[in-house]
Amino acid sequence: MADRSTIPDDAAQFMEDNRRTFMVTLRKDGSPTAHPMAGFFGGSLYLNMYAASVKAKNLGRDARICCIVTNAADAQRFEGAIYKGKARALPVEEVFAERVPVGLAWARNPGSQGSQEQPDVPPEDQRKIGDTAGRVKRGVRVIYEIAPEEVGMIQELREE
Amino acid sequence: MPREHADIRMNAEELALFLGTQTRCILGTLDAEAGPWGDAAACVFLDGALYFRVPRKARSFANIQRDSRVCCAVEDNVTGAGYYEMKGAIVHGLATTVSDPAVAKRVASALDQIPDPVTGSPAEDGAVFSIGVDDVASFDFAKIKRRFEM
Repeated sequence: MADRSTIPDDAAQFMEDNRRTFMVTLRKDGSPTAHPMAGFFGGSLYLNMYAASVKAKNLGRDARICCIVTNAADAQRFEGAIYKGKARALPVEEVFAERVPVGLAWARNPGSQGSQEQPDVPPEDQRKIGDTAGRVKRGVRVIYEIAPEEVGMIQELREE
Repeated sequence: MPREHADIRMNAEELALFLGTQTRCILGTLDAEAGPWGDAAACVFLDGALYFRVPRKARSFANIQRDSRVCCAVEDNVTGAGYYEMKGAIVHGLATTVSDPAVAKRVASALDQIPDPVTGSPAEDGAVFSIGVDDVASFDFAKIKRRFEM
């Protein structure tokens, strides 16, 4: 059997083109939950969330995660990729390193188009909506990198 | 300081209206190692319960046979929608088969109109499950009042 942690080209291309993501994690009692959010793919899949959110708390307890990256809700035909793996919260120094994977560049600065340019972080009293990078630097938001264990288009992985 | 999501949940009436418009959900189940697994399923909201259909060959079906704890997530993120137009709900519960023949017939009739999201075809050999809506997390970003506070 092919190594399912290798990201197939079609799934990679799909995730580069689509950011609508549902992250399935485990609640405190071990039951599944699924949160919609943005996923940033490039190298790996990266997720940016509030450190105090239920999503982050779930990952802090159990790093196992299964993401479904999909097209828009009103698309005539549903398409999706499955990205199952383990999440790791990235330290601030790693997030703002000089050269980072494209997905991380997107996640730390969603307006960057994946550019390596360091995001502008305005002073606290001048911050405004959209200041994702500042929130990451202040620890209000955290970026997770998902190490892939099983990735592919949903029709390829849906059955054993 | 209260977080913004305390104010953005849908009430029961809003939730019923919203779920009534949905035909596809992201289904979360537990795999053999009790880890998370995701799938997409056709769904319909009828008489206060959410019904969804899973192909019997799917890993999700096997997962539900082993552990019936599931969640169904729906989100109205349409092309070109702004952040403050998004709505969504995550319904948690135990997947149960429909035992009442009259209900089963109505649900089957409604789900027959909805193709399987993954295959795009009418489901062949699909199993139908229901979950209640008493453990739901929902959001309607139009309700955000404290937009710029953390």
